[in-house]
Amino acid sequence: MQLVELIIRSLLFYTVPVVIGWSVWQVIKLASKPAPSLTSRQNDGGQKLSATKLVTSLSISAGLGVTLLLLLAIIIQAMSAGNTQFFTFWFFPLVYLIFFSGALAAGFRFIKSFPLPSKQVMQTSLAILVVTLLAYLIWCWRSPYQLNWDMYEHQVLSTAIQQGQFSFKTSQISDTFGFNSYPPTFHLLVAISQFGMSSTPTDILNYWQVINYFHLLSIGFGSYLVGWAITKHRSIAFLSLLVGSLVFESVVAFTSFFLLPQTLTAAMFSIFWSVIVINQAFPNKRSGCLILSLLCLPLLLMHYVIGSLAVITLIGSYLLIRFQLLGNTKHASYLFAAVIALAAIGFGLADLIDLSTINQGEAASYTFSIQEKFNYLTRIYGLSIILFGLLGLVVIIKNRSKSSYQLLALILIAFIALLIANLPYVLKFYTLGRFFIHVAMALGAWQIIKLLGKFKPIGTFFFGFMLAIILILNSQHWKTHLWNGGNFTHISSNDIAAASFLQTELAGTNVLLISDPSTMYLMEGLSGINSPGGAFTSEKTRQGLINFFSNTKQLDVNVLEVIEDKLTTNPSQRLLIVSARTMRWLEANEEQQLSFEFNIWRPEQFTFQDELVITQLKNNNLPLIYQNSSYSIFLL
Amino acid sequence: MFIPSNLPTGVSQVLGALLLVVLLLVSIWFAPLSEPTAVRSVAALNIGEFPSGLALYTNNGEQASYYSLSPWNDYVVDKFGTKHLLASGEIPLSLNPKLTDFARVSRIGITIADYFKLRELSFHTSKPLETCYHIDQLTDNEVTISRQVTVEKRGQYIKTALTLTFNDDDVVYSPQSNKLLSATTLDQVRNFYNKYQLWLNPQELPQEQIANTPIAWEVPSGEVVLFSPSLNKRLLITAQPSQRLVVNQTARTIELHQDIPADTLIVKSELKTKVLDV
Repeated sequence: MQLVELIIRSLLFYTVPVVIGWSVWQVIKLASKPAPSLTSRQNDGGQKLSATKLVTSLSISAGLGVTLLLLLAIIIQAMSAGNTQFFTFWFFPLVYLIFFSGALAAGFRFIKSFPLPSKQVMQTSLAILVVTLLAYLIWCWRSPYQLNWDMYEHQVLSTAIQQGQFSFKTSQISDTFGFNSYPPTFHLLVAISQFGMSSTPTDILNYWQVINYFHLLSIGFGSYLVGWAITKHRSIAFLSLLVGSLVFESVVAFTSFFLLPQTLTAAMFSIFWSVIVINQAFPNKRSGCLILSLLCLPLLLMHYVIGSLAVITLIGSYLLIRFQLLGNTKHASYLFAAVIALAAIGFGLADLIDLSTINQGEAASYTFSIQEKFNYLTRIYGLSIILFGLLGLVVIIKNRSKSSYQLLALILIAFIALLIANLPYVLKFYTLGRFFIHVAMALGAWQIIKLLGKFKPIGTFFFGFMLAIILILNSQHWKTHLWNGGNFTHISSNDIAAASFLQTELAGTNVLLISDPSTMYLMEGLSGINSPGGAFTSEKTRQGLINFFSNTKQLDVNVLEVIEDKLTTNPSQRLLIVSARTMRWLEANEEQQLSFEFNIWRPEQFTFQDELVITQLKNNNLPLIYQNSSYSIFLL
Repeated sequence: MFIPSNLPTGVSQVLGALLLVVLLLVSIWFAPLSEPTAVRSVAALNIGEFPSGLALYTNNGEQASYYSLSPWNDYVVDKFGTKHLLASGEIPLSLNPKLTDFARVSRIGITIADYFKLRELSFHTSKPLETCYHIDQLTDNEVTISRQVTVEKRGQYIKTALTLTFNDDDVVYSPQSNKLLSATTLDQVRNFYNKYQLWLNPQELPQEQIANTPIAWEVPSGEVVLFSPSLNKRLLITAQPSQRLVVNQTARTIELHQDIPADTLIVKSELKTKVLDV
């Protein structure tokens, strides 16, 4: 697929909800007189459109659009009565019809007085584009395929939705999803942008490689906006952009380089939060509540847990600003006391609750001690987070009478308390907290850089250069174990070839792939052919595979015959995929084999011993239908 | 805020710049560094730097196989026939053990260069002899590794050997005679036959070697094939016209022997390897 098409597809992911939301918002505005003042168009007559108004309008449109798309999908799914063709036939054309109509209406509306961006907006946009592009080039260096492992499960869901298998519960679309952390809002957007796309495994990988950049762009934009909303200072906002783009949380959060439901929620949150602060929480009470609802709802629909915290932060910030609880020293003191007390209580409670058994023990792997968290921080930031963060705190204390700094301080206290709490998965919340911590770092850095007078740009450059060096060290460390054939990658040409074979030969059939968890996960994601749970397959499937391979001289195929997908039963055919990853998985100990946490992350090739096992399988009259130096696919 | 406001502009700028430089350097200084991971690939085989030298290697899951070129194995022979290893003492545990001093700065530089593939892979040792290994040529399926030894005096040594280690379960044979040169079990020979339809007969041991160790054979053709079960590929190792190829079954090394001209101070050798099953 051409790069241009990939860029257009990636842009559709963002523009479809925005245009649809914008169209409906215009209708709402026309229907309700007087129109809400903050989003009313005041640029008639060739005036330059205020960046604030543009961002506000786009945010509201995006929020509304996301919610409406999910609602439309739910309605059509309810009307389809389980008919997947009905869903595909109506949903996607309808979405694109509304999108193109909306785009046309927007075109007509703006054609007479196109909102020219100011020089400042142009400069800022260019800066965001350049910084994020440089950061992404560093990250992608020698990684021809995207490195977001979770992408494969999200692609499974997106492919299923494109085939009409929509449900509000992700666990009812694919058994790769054991529980419902979110409705398939994110996947719906992916499905819409991929609809009609040639979906060869290479196309899918390229699509994610390109869209991950657009995600970084949105994170960079969000970082800039949060910095600007708090300080109203372009240089500090730019420093926040530098930190936000050049820092990659290589543990748990993965905010900047990986497009995921949680990170998309974070990107939306950063922009929405800034909109609330920049607009001083919408003084018009009626429109303020409506807009707040439109901004909060899509966050919840994108990710229940991260979205909930995002909504709490948004509503909290809205109330504090709306009711002018900040700026007043007395009120602020009570607030700080309350937040600190809550943080202390929460921190204490966290030690008493044992949540390590959640998600088949996976939660234990995501519970980190304070020392471990500190080690991760230095891996991600070097010591810059401590040095510049502390300087930033001094600046915040110095500006304690300003309401925006008080708000920043309150949010920082709450997030830091949450992040150091002894609970599983809390580092996921860093995906939201990072924006505020980065502003603190930017404030600290600016205190030094501003001393340089006319040499400030040089100081800023070296600050960015330092972050780039740490990003390279962090990336090198993170990618090292993925080295394969001259690249850092999860995927090899053999993986792609096997997935292409499956897609070409078996697309549209009710076939069930059976293999080790990693192979099923990758093959299902890339080929769209069903597997029993992918990397999150049940203990029964894992045990069945272990038993099957325990004696390859006298095969017991019956142990594989009982393996079932939880949602799609009675497959027309079962396939056994024996890959080099399967062999490495079989060599692991039983605890690893049964764990969700253990995967064969890197491409492998068959060893000589592996080939002997495959020969034994062939000798047992298992029909071999495909083979390369990493894969053998048998009919069962 | 951090510098008195009544200072002249130039002074505050200099102090600000110094403070910024210190903060930036300290920020980077405390970033954890991984072991250098400079690797290149030839087919599915990696080439990397290790504390003992360069190595061709593969790692499948928990299993790894290494084929090393190391000054702790390579040697020179003096005119009395005594062998001298090119490196002495214990092999260091890390390539750069001094993490607390300024070696850290160079480590950061090396890591960045490695990330962008800007650095040439090499290995260097100076005691007792100045020795340097580096990759000379690298294509998709061929690699040539060069070694340069600087001797102290002309005529001090008459011969040198560049060695490549192999593993217990590897099959080494002469592609011209199909004679087996490694200590390989009958099962391994059968498995090899099943894969390549090539039956390897054992190399007969010359009478004079029966009682002697190590057991080693010179291969007149200057070519041997090494089959690695873990790599599942065959490597063709070719000697240069000036080299004699010897397979030392006891030490499990493939050695490239070369005479050192009497007027030479710098001795250059090279090992050419081609991956046959790409």
